[in-house]
Amino acid sequence: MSDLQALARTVYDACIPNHQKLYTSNEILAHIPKRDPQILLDTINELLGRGYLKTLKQGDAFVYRFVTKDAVDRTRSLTSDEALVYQHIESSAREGIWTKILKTRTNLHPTVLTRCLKTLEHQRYIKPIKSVKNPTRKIYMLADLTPTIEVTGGPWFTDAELDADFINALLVAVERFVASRSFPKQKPNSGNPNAIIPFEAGYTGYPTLSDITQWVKNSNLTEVELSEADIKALLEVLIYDGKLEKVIGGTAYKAIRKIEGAVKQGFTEAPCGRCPVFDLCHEDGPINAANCVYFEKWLAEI
Amino acid sequence: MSRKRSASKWDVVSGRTSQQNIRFSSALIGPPQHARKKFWRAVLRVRKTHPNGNFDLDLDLDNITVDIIDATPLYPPGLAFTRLHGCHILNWDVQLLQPLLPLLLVLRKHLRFESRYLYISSTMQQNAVELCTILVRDTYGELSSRVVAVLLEYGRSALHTIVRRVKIPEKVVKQTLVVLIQQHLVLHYTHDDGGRDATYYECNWLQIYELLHSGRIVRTIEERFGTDAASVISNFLLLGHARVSDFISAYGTSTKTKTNGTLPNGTPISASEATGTSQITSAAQISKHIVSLMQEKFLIPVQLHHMHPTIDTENAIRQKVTSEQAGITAAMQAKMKKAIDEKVAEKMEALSTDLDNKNFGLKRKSDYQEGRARKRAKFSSVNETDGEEWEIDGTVVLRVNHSKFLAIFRNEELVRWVESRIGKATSQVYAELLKHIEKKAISHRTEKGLTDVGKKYVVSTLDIGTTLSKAIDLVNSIAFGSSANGGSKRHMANGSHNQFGEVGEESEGDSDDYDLDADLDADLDVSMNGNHDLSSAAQEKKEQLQNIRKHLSLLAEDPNQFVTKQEGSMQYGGWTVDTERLCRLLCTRELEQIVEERFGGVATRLVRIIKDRGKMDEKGLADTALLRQKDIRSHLGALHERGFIHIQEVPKTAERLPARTFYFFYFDEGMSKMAILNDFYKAMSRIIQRIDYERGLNSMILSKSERTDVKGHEEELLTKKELTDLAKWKRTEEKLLGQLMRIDRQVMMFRDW
Repeated sequence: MSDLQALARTVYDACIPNHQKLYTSNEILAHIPKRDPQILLDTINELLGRGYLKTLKQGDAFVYRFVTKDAVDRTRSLTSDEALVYQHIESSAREGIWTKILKTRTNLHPTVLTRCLKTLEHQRYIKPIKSVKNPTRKIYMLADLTPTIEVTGGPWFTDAELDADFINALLVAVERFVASRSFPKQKPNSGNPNAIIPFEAGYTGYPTLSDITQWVKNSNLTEVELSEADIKALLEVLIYDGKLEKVIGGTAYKAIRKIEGAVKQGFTEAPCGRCPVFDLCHEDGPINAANCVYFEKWLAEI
Repeated sequence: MSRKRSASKWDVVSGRTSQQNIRFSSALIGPPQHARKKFWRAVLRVRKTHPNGNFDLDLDLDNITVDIIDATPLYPPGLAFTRLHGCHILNWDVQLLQPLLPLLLVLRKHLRFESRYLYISSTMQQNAVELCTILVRDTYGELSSRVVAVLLEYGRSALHTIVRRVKIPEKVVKQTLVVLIQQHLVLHYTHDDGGRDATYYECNWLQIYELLHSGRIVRTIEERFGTDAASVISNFLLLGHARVSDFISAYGTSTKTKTNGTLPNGTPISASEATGTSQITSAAQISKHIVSLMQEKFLIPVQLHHMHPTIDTENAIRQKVTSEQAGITAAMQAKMKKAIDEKVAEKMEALSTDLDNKNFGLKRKSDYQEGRARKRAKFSSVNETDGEEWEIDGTVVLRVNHSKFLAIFRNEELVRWVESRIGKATSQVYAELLKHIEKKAISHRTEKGLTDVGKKYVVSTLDIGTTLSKAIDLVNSIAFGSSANGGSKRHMANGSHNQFGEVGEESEGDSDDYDLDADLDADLDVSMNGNHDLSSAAQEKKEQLQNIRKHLSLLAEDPNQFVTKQEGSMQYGGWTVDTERLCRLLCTRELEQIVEERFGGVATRLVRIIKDRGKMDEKGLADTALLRQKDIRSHLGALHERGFIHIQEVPKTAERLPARTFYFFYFDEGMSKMAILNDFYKAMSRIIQRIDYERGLNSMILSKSERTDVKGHEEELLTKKELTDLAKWKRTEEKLLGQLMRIDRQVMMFRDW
């Protein structure tokens, strides 16, 4: 083992506990005897050659990152093609990389690429992930990383699919919570259960966004961390559903009073409002008011 | 090229040319020479700017014909056959007219067509024609309905044209027209057309639609003035309009026969029959009813312009105004145009301002008497005010004021809305407030709906307090809670009448009301100090007013802003109502409800998002709605099919490939409303037709039960089966009529308010 190799090893050992850090050449120089730039250069070359060091560019300056032994062993066991593919996947970090882009970047033959990906996946170096934005694309990333929110789509998605049940359950829960705060508690002896009376004008006890977020957090409804923005999206949906409304200058939320057994509006209750052949109905046509089966049924319901 | 080919394919199928004729009757277009020049310009401009504008012009003396060659090959010719006659656009559907819209807009601009005209014509759709024809047939018989059908289909026509189209002898047509004009269902106008007069008749279809409201109108009057007044109004409804003296002299002797003779049994307006039963004997009694109905503007004197189409009235005024400005150069004329427009609008308004006078059409009772009585009236200051006696002028011709009733129906609807949103007691306070406004404001029906400038009339809390029923529980209908959740319960338990004021103040802490409340209390305290033995009645009054104010604040604070608080001089505060805005909201709400019940909750969510955010593509929609794209697709499709939402295509490339195109969904309230109105009319026609059909099924039993010897003795003379059949028919009719009225409510909401 030459001196250079030994020196390289000491530098590597000194820096590896901190391997996430990016080193500038000056920082590495501190580990070089006599701070000789020539020796530094040789050492860096040695480390680079063995794959223990990686050059990166930060702005105009070069910076270095030390590679852990595992990773070095990993790449060392790979063929050159596999190493190339691995490198590209690694560089994509938490975003993942689409196989098509991988192909153009590596310039490998499709079959070679597929084989490489297969081996890498088999060795558990990489994993395929699903992106919310492009569900059909085959995207790979390193096995030990977790995908970013852009890829997973945030708390609403499970396996890149919108989790409708989860959302609906949350919607119902939030609505109930807001409703419980929107009206005074019923007197136990009040005769009419439908007579929900309103709070007076100027009442400020309606729940705000942070109130609701806090409540969701404390309620053990879900393991998923929900931010205020997520809760706001939920509330928006509830407003669009006509279940809540904004009050007090849009800062708080209030449930809209629901009347049990409210009268439906006329049009859709009559057969015509729901008629699937309404456009074909004509006084002298094959479908008309006299022979209408829907009227027949509806009138029988008296 | 491909367009041409497809057009010729349709030619083969339908055996028609793809030329569509649009005809303009020159009768309407003001001074002919002048108008034609402008028309040329208008059409030429459209030809330049419109992508499909391939017009051929053909001018002759009587008609200006525009042939649109290959203009609408996207639609089969049978559908695309659009007729513009006297600027009535009939039998078109919304989509179809779209290529023509630029033309119409230019026409409106250049030929100074009143915008309402286009609007009303455009809402006059085929289904409405059908409905109106059915209504006239049920009420006035086959003959009238045929004349009306012709007028509706062909638009404004001269007598000879009607005779030719109806294929009925001229004499009969004339008689029919007289009846229809008497009912205000047909309007007429005589032009001075180059020395000889030419009279044109036009159908006033909105008035025909009003036939459906008879039941509501009679019921409203009955609630307010009792059965006698109701029978007076129902007779006016039957007569259309009548001279007061004739009306009074005919009353009592012929009421009953008239009622039964004119109205066939079981028609939608049969409700008015029921009220015609009570007998009024003295003429004084009738005139008393008429006076009170007139003072509240339920009956109004007929004016000349009621008999003419609005456009003609306006044209006449415009012509007069323009001729007054004679001797102005063309350049100046352009400048003057605005001034003239303003003047015309002013004069149009002046036509109806007579109505603002409370006693218009009435005269002072004292006028009738000798000088001595008059002098006495002069000297007594008390009589100068409302206590004055008013008497009816026997020569005045009266009619029912339908706009007034529309306003009342609208107010009822608003009250119902408040009830569902806030609560019963608050809605009763609101009803009282609206009643005060309704008494002051005169409603006019305009192109944009009803205007009664509710914003102008400030109602004070005191006014409401004086008329509000004491039976309403104002206190227990609002919860007074501090912002802490648990607190509300405690307050409610303790919040007895005495502590009421303090509790309210505490919780109102940081609201605007606080200061006012404090002021109010201070005021009252002062008055209390000045007058130590404040009676319990005054105390009660004070409490009542405070409570009313709490309810009104609740209304003002609602996101819909049912009332607006007017800061100012009025003690206890004044309030106004912006009815126009509220009606827009009401209409939107109804539309959403229809979507909800027809397409489900997801569709409503989507519609609201689209409306709120403007144009959106499928992906954006899915993200906002927190739904999967594939889940919303079918909903969007269904909504688009029925015309609730619309799509704009934005191609990414010049080839306009579907795959390389953005599809943006958007919501056009006007178009959606129109589409749904059209559906309403159709549904209403179907219901009436179904009633006719059901009646036909039960004709045997019905004719038997209506026999004079059977009537009143049904139990004895009919078999058990007949009785059950009769009961079933009655239920069926009731259900169908009820449904009809419920759709009518929606029509008013979408069209009139």
